[in-house]
Amino acid sequence: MSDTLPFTPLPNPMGTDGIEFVEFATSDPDALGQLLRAMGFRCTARHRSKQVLLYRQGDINFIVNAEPDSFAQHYAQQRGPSICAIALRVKDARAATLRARELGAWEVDMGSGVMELHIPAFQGVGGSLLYLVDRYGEHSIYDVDFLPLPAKEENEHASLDSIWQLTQSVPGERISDWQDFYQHLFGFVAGEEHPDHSGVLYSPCGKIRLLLQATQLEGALSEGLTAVTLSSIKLDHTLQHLQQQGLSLRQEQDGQQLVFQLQHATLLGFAIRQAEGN
Amino acid sequence: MDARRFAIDTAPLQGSLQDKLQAMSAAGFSQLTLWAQDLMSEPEGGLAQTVRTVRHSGMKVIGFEALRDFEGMSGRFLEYKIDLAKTMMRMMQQVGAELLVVSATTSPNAAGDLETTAAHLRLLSTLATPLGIRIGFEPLAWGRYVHDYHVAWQVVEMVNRQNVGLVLDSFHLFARGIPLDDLYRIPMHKLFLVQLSDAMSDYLPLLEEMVHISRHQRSFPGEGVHSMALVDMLVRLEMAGYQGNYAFEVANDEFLTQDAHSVASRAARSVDWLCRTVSQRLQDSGC
Repeated sequence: MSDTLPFTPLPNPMGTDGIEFVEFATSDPDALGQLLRAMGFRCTARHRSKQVLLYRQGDINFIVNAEPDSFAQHYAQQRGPSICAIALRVKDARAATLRARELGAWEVDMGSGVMELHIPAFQGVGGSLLYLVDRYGEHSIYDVDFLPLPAKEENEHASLDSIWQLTQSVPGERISDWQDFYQHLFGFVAGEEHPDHSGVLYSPCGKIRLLLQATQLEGALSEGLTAVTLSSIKLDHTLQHLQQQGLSLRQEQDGQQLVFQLQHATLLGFAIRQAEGN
Repeated sequence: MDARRFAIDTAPLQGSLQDKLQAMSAAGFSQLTLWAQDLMSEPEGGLAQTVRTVRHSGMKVIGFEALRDFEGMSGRFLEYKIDLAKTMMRMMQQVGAELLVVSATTSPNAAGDLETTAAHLRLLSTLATPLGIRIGFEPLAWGRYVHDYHVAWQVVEMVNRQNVGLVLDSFHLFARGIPLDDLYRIPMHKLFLVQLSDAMSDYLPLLEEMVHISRHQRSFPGEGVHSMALVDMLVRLEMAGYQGNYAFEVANDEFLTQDAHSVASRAARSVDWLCRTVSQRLQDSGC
């Protein structure tokens, strides 16, 4: 693909290569699990030693963390169901970690149990974590830390394929601080800026899109990852599936594209759009 | 001028942290600048206790001091300094302080090229971002490489990060007799804090004298030889559109032999004098 790009590839000092997983913190894993199933996800594995489940669909990995007394539980207690971590795929986690440290990223020691992988973690927005993962694809981190669950579930996929965008909400005056942060650390570049001062950042690998959005909230909980937008390879099918599952959607126009916001009880945002190139 | 833009530092006040905060508050101050060591000053209860004291005082911490001799270090010295910066930032988060004052290095071990200085300030900027902290780089009269606001501003421009700006201390400008003519060239939103003090003597040919007077014999604006120069400085800043805070950065041994309340009242009188005089001057010049 890359040799057909009409422009020079961007420098990619961290070797980013997309999003490996999004981790959700919740004290009610059943409710979130039910929602994810209705969205066409399958629970494919559980963590060897923790109350942590892996949900998959297409190239999307969602981790639902309900481990008692964990970082995630503390996070969920403060914020309700929320995104407490994201893992970025990088070509070489060790090199990326060294570089991140050198540039002032705040390393967080999450510890790791016996037989568990050590995944380097850094402080992200709103107390969330940024993991760097270089085991993905054929040999994944889930092979080591997770036990596969039998594929007994009959639920049908909903043609959701990949994570199109993550939304990070911060007070308006903090948007440029965070732009600097992602540019400096990961070589992200700024895309179009919207009239409401929200802005989009792209990773140099082109696979991560981050929307920085202004929030009216103030105080300690004002910053965080608040929404994830998923690409559907067959939007008609996805919408039909979600409606059959009793999920209601609110249609919005985002530039040329239609985006469908999932209407559900928590503040955690899920949205669907048509994959590009389809 | 609004007196609420003025803050006072803990350094000129005598007593426990609680005494200091009470004295400030009683004198009418609602903001202060705080030193990391203030938070370690409680023999019992430690950091948790001092953090509670600050939180309960209702005073806003507008500046946290001071990370010194940071930029230009290398190897394990730099690692040590990074750990120190993290410790300070964690403290800042606990007391709700947003601005870390980073004073230009005085260390003979520090590299002096501005590229390295800028790179190390960027490192601080990245560390600070997740915690919502801003970095204020301050030129020192006896800084090894950066002792003038022109150079300090050049560094901040090179750093090119939203959360990195400038902190200026009147004492350091006056001690070196640096002309203020170019102050207006600094975009005022990048000036994060202005520290003010008067001094008992003007002519400071020797570095040792500068350091000595700076650390032991400063006074509040209006009490020394720099009074009118201070008014001039504030008029320039206000006319240039500065909307940030002013903090009385006054270290004086004699103040420490006096009751904190009477020293804080002196500071409040100084605020009053500055506000009146500067407002008058602004009015006279048609602003």
